[in-house]
Parts: sequence; structure tokens; C-alpha cells
Amino acid sequence: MKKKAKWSLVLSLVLALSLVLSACGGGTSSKKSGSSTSLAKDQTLNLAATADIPTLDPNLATDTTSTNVIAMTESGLTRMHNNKYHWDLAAGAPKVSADKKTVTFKLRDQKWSDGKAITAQDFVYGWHRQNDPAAKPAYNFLFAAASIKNAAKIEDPTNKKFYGKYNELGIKALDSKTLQITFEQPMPPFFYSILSQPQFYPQRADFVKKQGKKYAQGASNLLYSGPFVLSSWNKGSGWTYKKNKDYWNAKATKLNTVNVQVQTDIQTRVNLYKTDKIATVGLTGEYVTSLKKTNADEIHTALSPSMFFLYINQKTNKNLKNLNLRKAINAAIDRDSFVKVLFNDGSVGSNYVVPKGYAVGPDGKDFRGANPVSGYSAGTAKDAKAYWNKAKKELGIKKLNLNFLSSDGAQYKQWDSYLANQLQKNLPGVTVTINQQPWANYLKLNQSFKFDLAFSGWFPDYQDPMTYLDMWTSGNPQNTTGWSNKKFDSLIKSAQTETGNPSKRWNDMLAAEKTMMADYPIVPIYQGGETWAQKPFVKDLSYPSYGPQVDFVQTYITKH
Amino acid sequence: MGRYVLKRLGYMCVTFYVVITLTFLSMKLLPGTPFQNPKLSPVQINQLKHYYGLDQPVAVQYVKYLWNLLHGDMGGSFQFGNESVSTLLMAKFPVSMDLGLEAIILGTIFGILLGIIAGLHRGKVLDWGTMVFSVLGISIPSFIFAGVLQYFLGVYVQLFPVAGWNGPSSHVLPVISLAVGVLAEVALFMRTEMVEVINQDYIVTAQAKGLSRAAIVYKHAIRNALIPVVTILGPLTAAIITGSLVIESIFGIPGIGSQYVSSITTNDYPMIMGTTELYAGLFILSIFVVDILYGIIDPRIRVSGGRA
Repeated sequence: MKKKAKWSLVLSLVLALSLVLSACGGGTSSKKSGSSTSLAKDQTLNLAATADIPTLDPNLATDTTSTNVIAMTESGLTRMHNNKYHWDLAAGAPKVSADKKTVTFKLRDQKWSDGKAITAQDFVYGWHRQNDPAAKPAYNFLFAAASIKNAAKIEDPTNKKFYGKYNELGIKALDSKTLQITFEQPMPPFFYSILSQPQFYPQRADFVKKQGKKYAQGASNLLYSGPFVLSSWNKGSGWTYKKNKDYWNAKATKLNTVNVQVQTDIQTRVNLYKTDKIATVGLTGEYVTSLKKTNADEIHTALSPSMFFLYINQKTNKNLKNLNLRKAINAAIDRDSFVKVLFNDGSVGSNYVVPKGYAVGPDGKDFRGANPVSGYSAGTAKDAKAYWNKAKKELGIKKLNLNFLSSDGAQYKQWDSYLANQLQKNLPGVTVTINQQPWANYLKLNQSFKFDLAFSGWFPDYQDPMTYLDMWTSGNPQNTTGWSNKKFDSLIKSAQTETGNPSKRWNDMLAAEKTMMADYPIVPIYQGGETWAQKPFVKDLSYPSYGPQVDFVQTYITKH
Repeated sequence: MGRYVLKRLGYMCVTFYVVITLTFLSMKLLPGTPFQNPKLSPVQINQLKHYYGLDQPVAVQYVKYLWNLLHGDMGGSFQFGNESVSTLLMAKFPVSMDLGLEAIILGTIFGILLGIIAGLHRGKVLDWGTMVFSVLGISIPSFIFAGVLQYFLGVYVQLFPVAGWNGPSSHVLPVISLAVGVLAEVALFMRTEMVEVINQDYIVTAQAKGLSRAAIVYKHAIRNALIPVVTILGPLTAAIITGSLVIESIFGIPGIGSQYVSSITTNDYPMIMGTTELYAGLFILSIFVVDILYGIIDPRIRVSGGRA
């Protein structure tokens, strides 16, 4: 103990000294390096993750961290890169039957990390396990969304005949290298890209059974098949990827090692970036401003496919059934100032349902190119007052109190107050009561319609506008507004069944959004953006709008 | 002494059982479910509840939990893909304990030293300096120190790592940040006790006997002043080991703190129970140790403690 005390005394002296020294210094700046194009000798990428990996079992993974790790270390039939799908374990485009209801894939030669070949049976087992209730799948509705034969029935607990009978799923191994998939209806246009999701990956029966409860709980309790293998995973502090030399496309992987450390505090992540301990860092508004001053050329921005909006509860609040009132609420909010002042991270104010830069139609154009690019006109504060006056007359009310439900957390406080303030300022007579709740309770209150307005976000499941639209059909569990519109329902129904006719389907979805945005079941607020800083010597690192959150499969480090 | 210890042990077990029961019941009052993916429909959530046995009556769940606990099975964490809670706790708790103990040891030693110096120089500059330092140390939250230290010593002069928990140099900043509060509290306490003890008759007697100043201070003053300090050490230790959450998060230390908080917000029932049991056990144990320590420092307490 004595030794320790001495040591600490020295430290405190050093501490005091350094405080004095630093007070005399100027601002800090990280070293700039001329960007060269030749590869650095050391192809190591250091990253920080905002959370530990919750799980690597593809059956249980639902969060971005887990799915990111799985996507880097495992392979499916396709792999997303720069928002386009590429054939991965599929040896090329499959044979599609004339009615588009059957596709047959030939598999590429690829081994699991224990040396055994990946077979069509492994895909069958993986898909079956995803639909086996005993394996507690958390995200298997993707199979139904992709119209895989019988998936919807197998996943429906009320279906006594089919529930849990995963053997009925439309997937079959014709031989060890040939995989046949059958659909309920013609193959949906997003089918190839959804195959890149972990839920559709192969798993190996004998390994899963042998591991039992330990499956996927450590770096050595998994088999790998992707561009990287997980060489270590220290719970709570981080994990390391090593290049998988046996990956069929290993020549495209330049990185040898990727070290990831878990850092939950953003200030710490920024400090690590400034001290060159990590090569890239995601930023929130306040850090964007400060880093722009010192490292302007290292800041990058991209739109993300996350959509944020307010649910309007017209099921239990009869006033909110009034269209003019909903229009008034929508027009009262100045979205552009909202994102500019409170986010400053590349997010954009939105008055639309399907995000920009996410889904491309059969004509090769972005969904937002066909429907109003920057959204429908939300109206001004003056319009808001006019709608509100009409609504007051129609409803025979003078005042209105709105219960504004949101998740809790420091950042929500600001956002909620801003939105509430806009409503109270622009709609005289409206008072807003903010109700912040922990996420679990938020969900409960939202699903039981105990709110008037609820701040919410939506992230896509597959690369198609439908992932933002079908949730608003009448009676859909996600449609916690009570809104029901026959025209919208029939357009969605038709788009869902018309998978054989892509352009009609596309037009149906465009029309569906238009119908929705004339009736305002929700108040769109903004489309999320991502801003990050990245060292100039890191190339081809991407934050795609669909696929893994951070894609470093083809990233390389230049000399610096 | 043996009976006294046995009795205390008995109380410990009862307290522990009550804590488990109360935590279990209040935890079940948390709204919502552990299945917090907004994309799950109520039907799917009910199905998951069924598979995890969460649709059974609370009483049944409670008995099952106790039964499993007695067999050493704390269940699987919902947040971490069903991984066993005891494995997770065993992996992360030693880190938190390490950090906490280092801070406690550092803070206590320097706190006692500062307190003695201040007490002996009552009313002088040294005393005032210590007092001001201590008040600042208590009133400024540890995360402020952490942020300042991280920026100046980590980013600016790059003397110590910004974050992480590998190697002695990575311990410096988090331990200092956490120790400042302990140091300040112990120093204030120690000073008050010193001032009081020094005015006691027996110190005057000792001086009259012609003992050297060093002997008086060491043998009579410090030893007597230390007893109340030991009182606060128990709770302080528990508070530091459990309360280092913010420091762990700032310095990216893979401890237990953040896991505890997230287990509550995500309704990760087995994790809430496991962590609470660990903390409660630790707290109860630290009080127990303090009780025993009393007996060693002051034999009179042992006797009166026997009746408690």
C-alpha cells in the first residue's frame, strides 16, 4: 500500500504540472497527412462501437451492432455493397421460373471456418431454424415479407394447422449445391437484396446442436463464412476481426485486422479519434460544429433511411379524426429549423413517408424522384392557423390539450420541447403535455393508444418502399393511429399481390403515399442523416442506406 | 465473538432474502416486456413471452426463480442473446471491483493524510486549503473531473490513454477521477475527528507525561480519530464499486455499471435480479466487515455489538 501511495503522489504531481502546462498551450489539432493512393503496409483498421454485441445468433439478432458483425463474418446468397446487391454464396443469378414463383440457385464453393463445405442443406436448416418457435426467432417476419411460400402461416400463432411447421417453408435442397425457393406469388423485386440479411444466412445443424446453449456466445462458438472471421470477443470491451483467407472473394479484402473497442460515451469516442486511436467516428450536432473548425476535410455526411414522425391517435381521441386539425398540427411545425438547430448532422426536414435515396423503381429512378422530391408542401404557420380555425369551427371547440408521448433520454427533452412549443405558438388555444417514458413503457402506451401524439421512428427491413407503407393499412399492429383508408388499403393490397408487374406495383406505391399524405394519419418530421469524421488515409469505408451499418469489406488504408 | 459473528451472518441471510423478494416483485411492476423491438406485433410478443415463461403468474415465476437460484442458475440475459447472467457478471464485476477498490484505497490514504494535516494545523493556511479542496471534491461530480482529466492528460498532452482498461497507465485517469470524491469525504471527516480528539483530556495528559508530539499524534490522536472514519468506509466502498457507472462509461471500462442501467430500461429481468443480488450481497458484506473491524480497532464495541 505504501508503494501505491508513493506512486499516486508522483501521479498527482504530474497531473498538477500538466494542468499548468496545458493552460499555456493553444488549441489542439490532429496531424494532417497528404493523401496517397499506395497501400500502407499495415492494413489494420481501428474502430469504436457504441455498444457491445448483444448476440451473434442470427435468430436473435435485431440490432445494428449484432447484424453488422454477422454481415462482416458470415455470408448469404447475396451481399450488399454500396447499396447494390452482389452475388455472394450464390454462384450468379438464379434460374427463375416463367411464373416467377420458383427460383433455383447454384451455390458457390465456400467453406465454413472449420473446413467443411457450405451446402444447400445448411441454407435449408438456417431458414428452418428461423421459423422454429423453439429457437425463439425475433425477426422472422422477413420471410413473410419476402412472400416465401407458407412463411406467413408458419409464423402466425393463431394458425393451428401451420404454426411452427417450418418443414412447410418454401425452401428445398435439390442437391448439396442447388437450392430451390418457392414463393406465394411472383418473387418480389427486393428479394435479392433481402437475402443479404442475417436471417437468410445458412447455419449448420450439427454445429448448432453440438454447441447447444453456448451457440454464438463467444468467438469460438460460431462458424464463419464471410470476408472476416471474429478472432476475439471480449464482452464489454471489444472484438477483433481477422481477414478470412478462405473467403471466395478474399482478394477483394485488403484489411488484415479490424479492432473494435466498445465506447458508450461520444465525448470519449471523439477524443479517441482526435488522438488517432480510431479511424472514424460518428458525430452528433455539437461535435460536427467543433470538428468542422479543426478537421473540416474529414467530415462526411449521408442521408440515412430512418424516418421520424408523430403518430396521431384518432382512434381514442375523436377530435383528431378531424382532417383540418391534423393538417393544422402538420403545418404548425417548422421542420427545417428543427433539424438545423437541434441536429446539424445531415438530417433533413421531411413531409413524406418513403425516404430519399433509398429505393429505386423499375424505371431506375428514386422513389422520391417520382413523388415530390423534398416532400409535399406542409404549409406555413399562417396555413396552420387557418386550418386550426376551421377545425375549431367544425369541432365546436376553443381549446385543445394534447398528450405528447415520447421516449425518455436527454436528447428527447430538447426535441419534445421544440415540437410542443411550435404547436403551442402556432395554434393558439392548444396546450401540449409532454409525457416522456422509458422505451418499454413508451411501447406499451403507444400500442394501447394512450397518447394523442407520439414521437416515433421507423427503420427499414428490406430495400423497398413497402417497408414504410404497409404498416399503415387498417388494423396493422404497427398502425397505432386508428387511421383507416379504403383507397390506401386497396393500393397496398394490389402492390403486394402485383409482384409480377413491377411498374404497376411501383405506381401503386407512389399513389399510396400520395393518398396517405393527403389525409395525414401521421406528421412526418424528418429523415435522419449521418455525419462522421474519417481519417484521410481510410478509403472505401461506407455507411450504406441498406445493409450493414458500417461496411468495411473492401476498405483499405493508404500510406500516411 | 464467534456467536456475534454467527448472529450477524444470520441477519445477513435474512436481509439478502428480503432484498431478492422485494426486487423481484418491484421488477415485475416495470411496464412493458423485454421484447422491445417495435416491429413485433402483440401476437408475436405474447408468443415470445410464452417461450420464456413470462406468461405465468408472478408467484409461479418467483418460486421458479428462487429454485433455480438455489441451484446456481441465474437465468439468461434478454439483452445478450440468452447468455447466462452469472457468466456475464463474473466477466464484468471484477473490473468494476478493481476500479472501485483502487479508488477507495487511493482516496482513503490521501484523505486520511490530508485530514490529519488539516486537523493538526487547525485554522491555518494548510487547514483552509484542505477544506476548500475537500468541499470542491465533494461538490464537483466525478464525471467533470473525468472529462477534464481525459481532455488534458489524454487528448492534449497524451500522457495517458483516453480510454480503455488494459495496463496500469489506463487505470490512472479513471481511478483518480473516482478517488477525488472519496479523498474529499474522508479528509473532511478525518479533520473533524482529529480536531475533536486533540482537545480531549487524555491528549493533554499525554502531553503532560512528556510524550513526544509524534507519539501523541500517532498513538493517541490518529487511532482514536480513525474509528468514525471506518464507519463511513463500508457504505462508501459499496457506493464506489456500484456507483462508478459514469466513470466506466466515460473511460470505456468494461465493468458492470452500464449493464445494470440498461438491464432496467430493457426489462432484462434475470440481469436486474443478478446484478441487484450482487450489489446487495456486497453491501451487506461490507457492513459486516465494518462491524468486525470496529471490534478490532475498539474492543469495547465488540461487547456492545453482541447485544445488537
